[in-house]
Amino acid sequence: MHITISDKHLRYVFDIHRKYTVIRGDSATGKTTLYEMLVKWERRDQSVQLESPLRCVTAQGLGYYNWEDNIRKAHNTIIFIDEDMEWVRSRKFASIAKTVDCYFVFINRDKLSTIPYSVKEIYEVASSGRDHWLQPLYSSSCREFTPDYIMTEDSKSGHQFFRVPFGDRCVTAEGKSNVSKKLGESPYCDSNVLVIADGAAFGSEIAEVLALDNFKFNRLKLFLPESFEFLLLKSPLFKEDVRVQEMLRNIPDSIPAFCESWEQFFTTFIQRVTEDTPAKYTKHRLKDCFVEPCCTGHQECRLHTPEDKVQSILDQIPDVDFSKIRK
Amino acid sequence: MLKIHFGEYEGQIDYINTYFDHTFRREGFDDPMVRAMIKDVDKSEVICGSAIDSPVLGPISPRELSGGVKMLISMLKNPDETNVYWGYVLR
Repeated sequence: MHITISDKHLRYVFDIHRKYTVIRGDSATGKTTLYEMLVKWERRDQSVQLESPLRCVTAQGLGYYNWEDNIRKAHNTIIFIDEDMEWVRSRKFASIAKTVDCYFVFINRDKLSTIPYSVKEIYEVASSGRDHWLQPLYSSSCREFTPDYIMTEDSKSGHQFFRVPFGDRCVTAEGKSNVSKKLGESPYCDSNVLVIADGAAFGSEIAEVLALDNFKFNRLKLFLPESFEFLLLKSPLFKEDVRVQEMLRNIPDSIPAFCESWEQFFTTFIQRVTEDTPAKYTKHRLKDCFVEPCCTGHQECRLHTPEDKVQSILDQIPDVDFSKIRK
Repeated sequence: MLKIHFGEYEGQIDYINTYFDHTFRREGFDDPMVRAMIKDVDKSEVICGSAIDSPVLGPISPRELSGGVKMLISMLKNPDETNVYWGYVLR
């Protein structure tokens, strides 16, 4: 969704890709000015023009006391919320936001740990003269890395998968909010650690993890695919599945509008495409079909592949040499 | 002296933008310390009086300064210990 808001002196142009977008960055880069222009437009100030495919409202417009009702009543709306609104940090807000068919743009430097936002949807305001736009705050690096440990955010299917090639060298942080704490503990604080987490919902943790000494001293690398299920869907198991290939060819158009997190979409999708197969997917227990070589069962299996499934997933992790820890 | 209190504090100043916009005095911008704060945090220059030149927004009034520098100026100009400003840790 393409948005343009302008007045005589300034013009902000940006796109909204997912349900949650976060705008951060240094002081005096124009975050508050963007918000104030929206507030002016909302108050029918004719000096501000807004072009948007959906209705836009600000937290001011929602009101301090009746924001709950007003968010519940909003449909097909983009809601801009600045950091003065304390309620944006509450669990109540997160649970309401989850259920409504609205997009949310947070102009906020807080962690917002109750919101499952993607690392790809954290932006800062960039500018040149009159023009302002949003540029991603985090980008990937191509640094070569040889890990001593692999750390997954939890002990579900992704962790079970990486235990196969790496055994005890694959550890769990027991929750994404524990990743930075665990990285500070021995032996991980003095070792090279590759953290694998679901990028689609890791936005609240990224700043804290990148502020660690492990990262500053090049002892930490992050691999943040959309989700583990996304990696699986790109594996040879689904090479012949038309539904999967079609979805992968055009991901943004395949994902329903207002989807809370792409992670959830990929989980539901893989559950659907494996439903009537021996590889029936559950998040809590990974089937052998995803790691072991394919069996020659009694029935013809449509997921059959002669390729090495574990290696195909590891090949998706760029610039990492696993030779030190591979079993 | 700067004191830091963790948690909510009765009577804290929550909305620094509103507080600053209604309390700042034009003369405050003659103070070299205030000018240095604006230069350091917002990379902006006080031209004369309270007119400010921002590299991002062009000519602005003090109302368009960032929340961060508004808080610093308020703390400098209102050193009374009864003024408690609300903020949070940036990570």
